[in-house]
Amino acid sequence: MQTVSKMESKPSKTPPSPSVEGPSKQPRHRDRWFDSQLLRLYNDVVNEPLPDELSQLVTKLQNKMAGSND
Amino acid sequence: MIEAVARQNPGFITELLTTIPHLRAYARSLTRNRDAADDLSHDAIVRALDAAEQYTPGTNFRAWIFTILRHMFYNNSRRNKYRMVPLEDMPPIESVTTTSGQQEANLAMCDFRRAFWQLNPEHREVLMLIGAGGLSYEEAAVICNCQIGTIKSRVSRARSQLNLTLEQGALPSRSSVQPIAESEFIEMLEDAGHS
Repeated sequence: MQTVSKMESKPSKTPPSPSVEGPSKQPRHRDRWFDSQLLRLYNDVVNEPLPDELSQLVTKLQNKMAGSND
Repeated sequence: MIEAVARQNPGFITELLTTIPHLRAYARSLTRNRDAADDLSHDAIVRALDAAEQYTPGTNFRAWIFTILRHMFYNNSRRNKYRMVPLEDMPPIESVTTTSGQQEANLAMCDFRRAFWQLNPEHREVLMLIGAGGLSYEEAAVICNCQIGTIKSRVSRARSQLNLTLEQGALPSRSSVQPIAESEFIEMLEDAGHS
């Protein structure tokens, strides 16, 4: 999560909102637009709820963590 | 197994829990399929717990576990375990909007995603690792077991390919996107030194 917030924290040089305009012909702007789309795609997956099997594993890990802290 | 790791190295479990969402995103970029990516992530987590003693605390945990996942993907691809399938689960466009500017943006985003999922796995993974995941070229080179220059070159080629696809409008419809033929995939693995 740290890296995502790091990337989100540097929008000051961003050209006119790429999410609205679509890809630009200018390479630098186009690459920024690509990055913004990639980040959005990445965050969609990162924020998806976990499937059952993984969720159970996470719960087990969290419980063991809590147990080891007692 | 988990008890032992939690007892001996609780920091390992903390790092693992933090990394799981990112692991899934990386797995998705390789497999291009939600279920296969989650199976791969689950197996990689179990393997990481098994190998927890090999991890040196204080080093880059994300790079370590991504490397495990990548090895598992390439080692098992030949056996078709985490096979790539058509884009039936391409992430949906999440919002329906009414203004023309937003509709245009959604269309552009949809085109971008279709172009992205068409890239070969090595191009998708470097864009996901560096462009979205925020890893450095050095970290990506460690994960992909190649030179930094190779990573830079892959990023550049991936961006060019995306641009070409979007500019030429050569986007297939969702239903027409086929999985990469096995022979083509094996050839690609061999080219990448995974044979």
